[in-house]
Amino acid sequence: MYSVFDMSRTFVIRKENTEVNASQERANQTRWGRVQFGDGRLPAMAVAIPAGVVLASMTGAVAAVLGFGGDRPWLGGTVLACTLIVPYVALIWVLLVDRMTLKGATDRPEESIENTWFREASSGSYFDVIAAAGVATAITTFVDVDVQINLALAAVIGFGMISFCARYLLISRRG
Amino acid sequence: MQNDIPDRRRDRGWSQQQLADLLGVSRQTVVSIEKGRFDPSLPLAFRLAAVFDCRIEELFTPQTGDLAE
Repeated sequence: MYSVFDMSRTFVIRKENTEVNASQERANQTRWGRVQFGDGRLPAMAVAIPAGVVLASMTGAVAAVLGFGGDRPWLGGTVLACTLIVPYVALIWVLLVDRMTLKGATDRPEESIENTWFREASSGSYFDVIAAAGVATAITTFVDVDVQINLALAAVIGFGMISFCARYLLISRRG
Repeated sequence: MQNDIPDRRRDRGWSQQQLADLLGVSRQTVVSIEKGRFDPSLPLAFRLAAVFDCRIEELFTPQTGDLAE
């Protein structure tokens, strides 16, 4: 039988190890985190920035070859590549970074209050989107509105993101 | 849920961040638990009890409305 007493004894040992490990882990934590690379770790941005620039350049080159930009395809490709650098760097960083190496990361994020805030904001924004889509559907049934489907979907995504951010902010302020 | 975690923590000379590190959660989680705004999960409540070397029911006191009649 696993009792609180057993847990306490285990915890004393774990506590000593945890204090050492926690300080070591915290020393390894940085604002932008690190990525696992072979046996070692590299700063995440040292990987994400060059990879993002290369990917954006390749996209720009492909767009230029395909004639993006009309009579000045290479100018169009260069502009496209420049606008894609930041999104690509962000995307690569999100995909590669080891979240435990980010400043403030905890051992058990699923038991932290931030996880509860995230779940509450997610479920709230889900119902906000359903309600807003319902109202919009009702309005467009009676009012003749000609809206492109891609713009409508973008509006739904944007509304969902704004709703989530607002709800998360409110819940976290409430504590 | 009411609790006496702030007193027990101060008795041991721990900061909220130190307690959070021991529990493996964020400092904000400790802040919210201490203020009674956040009820911890059962595993986290057991870890809290282990940290303070006591039983869960010694740490937390349910409010009248939380108890079954």
